[in-house]
Amino acid sequence: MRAGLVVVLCLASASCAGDDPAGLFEQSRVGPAPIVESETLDIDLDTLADATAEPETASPPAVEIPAGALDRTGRRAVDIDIRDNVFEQRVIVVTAGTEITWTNQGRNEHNVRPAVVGAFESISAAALAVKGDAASLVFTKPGDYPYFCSLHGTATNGQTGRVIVVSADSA
Amino acid sequence: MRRFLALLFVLALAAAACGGSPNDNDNADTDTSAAEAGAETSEPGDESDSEPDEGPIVEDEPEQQAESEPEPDPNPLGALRVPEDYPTIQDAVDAAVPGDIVLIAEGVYNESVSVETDNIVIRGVDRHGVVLDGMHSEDLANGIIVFANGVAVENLTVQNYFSNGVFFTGDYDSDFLLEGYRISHVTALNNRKYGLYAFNATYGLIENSYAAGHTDSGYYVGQCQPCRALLVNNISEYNTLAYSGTNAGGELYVVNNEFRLNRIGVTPNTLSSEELAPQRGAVFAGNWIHSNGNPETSKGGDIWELAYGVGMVLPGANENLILRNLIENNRNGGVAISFLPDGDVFWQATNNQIRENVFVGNGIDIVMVQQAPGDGLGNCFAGNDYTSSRPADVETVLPCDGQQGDVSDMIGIEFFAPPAADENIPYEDVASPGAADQPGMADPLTAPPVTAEVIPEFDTFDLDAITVPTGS
Repeated sequence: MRAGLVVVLCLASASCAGDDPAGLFEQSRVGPAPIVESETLDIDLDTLADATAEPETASPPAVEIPAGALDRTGRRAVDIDIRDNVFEQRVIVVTAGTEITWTNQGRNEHNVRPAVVGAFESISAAALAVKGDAASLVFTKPGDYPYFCSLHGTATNGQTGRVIVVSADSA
Repeated sequence: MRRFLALLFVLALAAAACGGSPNDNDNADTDTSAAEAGAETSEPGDESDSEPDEGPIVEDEPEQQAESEPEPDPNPLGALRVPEDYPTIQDAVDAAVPGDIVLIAEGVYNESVSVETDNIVIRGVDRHGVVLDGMHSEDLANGIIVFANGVAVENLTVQNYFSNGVFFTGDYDSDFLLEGYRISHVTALNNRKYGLYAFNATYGLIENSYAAGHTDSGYYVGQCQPCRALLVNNISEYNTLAYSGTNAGGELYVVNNEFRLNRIGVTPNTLSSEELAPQRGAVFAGNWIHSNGNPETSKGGDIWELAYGVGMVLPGANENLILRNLIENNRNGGVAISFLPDGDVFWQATNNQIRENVFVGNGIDIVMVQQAPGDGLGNCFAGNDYTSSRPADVETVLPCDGQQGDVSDMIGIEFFAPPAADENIPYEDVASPGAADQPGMADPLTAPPVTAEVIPEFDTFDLDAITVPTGS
């Protein structure tokens, strides 16, 4: 297993630059309808984008925990297994400050990209290229963080996942 | 003299005035008439018709004929044209509704197109002239990725994508089984993973296409049971794998294709990395599987490197029918049936039938690879034209009809011996010698669009009609 890549999540602000200089992930949203929902994600990406752009001092938006989400609150570390082509623990709820590790258990390479540009740092395909490769992120700010593998999906279709972060007080 | 010249001048002016005005009136009338009546240009006031020798009559006729010809329809299909109507392929696809055709003009398009609308056709006007190019960028992962039913992609080239050329995908986790897909006359070149790819999808057709330069397989059908798919008349060369089908079977017909000059040929297989294991129930018939073991290819994962030079390998594959193929000149082996270690899981290959194939010039024509002596696990061989096998005389030892015998004379894992230090050619640099020869579809500008909602080629497919190819 390759050495894990631990990246401390930067808060969703202007200083947290996404890796999408060409604005491709803006285009990857289903448009032009402003509200996008999916069976699994059941979220409004545009509302989420507005929320994550607000100053840190603002109260985080209330997140409704969807049915079927895996409760992983109270844990310091949580694992997500990647197979072809799926994030097995697709919707998880964690406490702020939890380290989440994605491990490739498949034959294909995968990546992790935020559905809302800039919401968190991406994990490149190079970091999850072969079976056994792993990479980690720490989510420090409560909120809703949908993501996807851009090799096998888009923000709203295919290989998608979702991390819901709750404050330690609410866990 | 001056008076005479002046008189001549006046007379000339008068003659011109008299001849011009009737003609002007006729032209105006003719223009109107041409607009109203189409080709007919005869005018009641046109006295020139009765006087064919007059100059104005001759001058009028060509103009009348040109105006009478209808303008050709620049868009007979009513297509969403790129770039004439939409600047990008994605824009056109987003605007399309079911039943539409997106028609792409010649050019190079650095796009990754996502399709979410059912029953549309995406067509290039020229298979070689319409090129989607991903520039090997992770930001352009797939040439065309489809999340909708009934979509057809045809007559274009997809190349240099970070992941796949054309990719149809359902989503097992959300119970979306993509239904209805078609790939026709598509060329896939030097994409990092798969050329033409269907995953968690059913009811499909991949035909008359070409794939080269991929680090996994040129053609991949994965995670479907039943797949209800037909792969026919395709060419796969210079890939790591010609065809791969993980956990894919059930009315899956791979027929009349040419799989040549790859690192490994054809491999239905089982892996725990996908759902619906184990693989079972595919048919491979009428294919020409030859000359695999080509070092001028890109090395894939270690597990596949073990099968280097084998025309057809069935690792952990089950209940497949290998029928009337021509399997020749594959470096290490013709057909190899094998177990597959897969992490904590150990997949056996069982109940495959190898019938009526022709084997010529392979390392070993037919091979049973087993971990330890045991029975044949229901695998059987009949009616094949072959020279060498392990166990020896395999059709006597493992017949399809009758009692099966002792298979102690088999080969172990050592059969799979990777080649000595072949260079690994980066996939971006792998050749595609057959690409330019591939024909485009007929009448791309006028052929009515046919979605993949109904696939008559699959519905009417007749396995009994398949024969052993003649090869070269």
